[in-house]
Amino acid sequence: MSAMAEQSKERNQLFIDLDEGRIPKRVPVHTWMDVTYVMQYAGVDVRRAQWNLETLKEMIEIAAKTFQSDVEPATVTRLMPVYNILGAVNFVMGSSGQIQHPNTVGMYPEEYDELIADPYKFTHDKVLPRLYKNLDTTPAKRAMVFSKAMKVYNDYYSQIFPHIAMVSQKYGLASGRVACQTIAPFDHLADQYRSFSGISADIRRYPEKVIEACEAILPMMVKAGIKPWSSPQARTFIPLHMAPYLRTKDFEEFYWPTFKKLIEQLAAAGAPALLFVEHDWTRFLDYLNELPAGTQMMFEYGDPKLIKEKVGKKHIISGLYPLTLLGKGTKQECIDKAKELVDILAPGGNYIFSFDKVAIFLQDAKPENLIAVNEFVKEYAQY
Amino acid sequence: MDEFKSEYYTSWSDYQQNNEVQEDAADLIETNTQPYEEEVFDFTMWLVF
Repeated sequence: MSAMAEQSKERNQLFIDLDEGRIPKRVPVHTWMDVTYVMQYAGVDVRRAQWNLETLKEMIEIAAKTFQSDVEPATVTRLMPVYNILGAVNFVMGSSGQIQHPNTVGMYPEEYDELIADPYKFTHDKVLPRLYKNLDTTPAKRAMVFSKAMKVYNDYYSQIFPHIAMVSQKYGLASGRVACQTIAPFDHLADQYRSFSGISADIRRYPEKVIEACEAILPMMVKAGIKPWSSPQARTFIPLHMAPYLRTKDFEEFYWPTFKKLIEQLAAAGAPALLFVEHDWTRFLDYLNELPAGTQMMFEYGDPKLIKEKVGKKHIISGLYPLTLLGKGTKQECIDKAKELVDILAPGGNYIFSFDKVAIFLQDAKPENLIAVNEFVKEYAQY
Repeated sequence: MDEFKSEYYTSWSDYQQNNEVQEDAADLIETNTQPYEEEVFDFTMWLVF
């Protein structure tokens, strides 16, 4: 076995041990960064690079060999050529080259019954033509636009995913931690269908319809979250959005029931979740602890001691390191913060070192600080 | 787990019900049909995630 293959095997074992409830040799390090962060680091023009598959692949390799993560850190989630063909209004390129997500409405309040009857059909008939204006046309033209966009999507990802696997082997990294993505039903309804303000009004005006809609959406979200290659090491990524903005009573009524069912059904199908627990979920830690054992939770905010105590015995914790400290802190301050978190979160296992956010802007996270922190954790956080 | 149902999604069992599937080639027909149904589903979800 080559030295790099041996290193990949050792790194994979760190995650396997965690997923199987054992204490690994050391705390694994998983850094998440948007591919545009790597573009800024490499000094390429982000506006042009978003259109270039070969540049995206170069960035993936630069990230693999540079940032000292145990897993390929670069993520490619938004494809400008696809959005361009579709005439996207929900994902548009900003002046810096970043792809931004304006507030959009894909569904109107009077359409709940149509959504509830067949969410997948409704998505194609109503939501997509509103979010992608080039699909708002005759059936024949719509089919052509959809086909072209899907061809580009497949052309890109059929190269990007094997490339990530190849560079991971080349640089001795662990395999990717994510098999696919899905969304909590309430978040799905809020994000691109009804919008933040729309769903906030709907839970007052049409509470029964919102509950019915979440139940109707659930099977589609379960299907999206299970792949033949799903496993405890290749998880279903679920970014959580709306709960911190809800009153506890509304969370219990609208958000929690279908979210819990989703995570339970995924776990039962061998597709455990990797939750990105966005914003502050302190009010809901007891709920999170009810989810199937071994769910991974990457926290953005919260008291690390409380999180460790409430959910860290049953679940795998990550996140909580303030990424922006890497932008304004000295190297020593950044390392001291890492030591503080490792000392709280590592004892007893169930911990992956991650920052609290995906790195997007270079000024938010100086690369030299990020690298120093990751190197420190790998050296210090040995069991 | 219940099979996913939609007017716009054809599961393999739906396909078999609505088409005359040559029995001795059913496995080949499935592997040359179903993955494309799944790709459309996955792409659709990517568009609204």
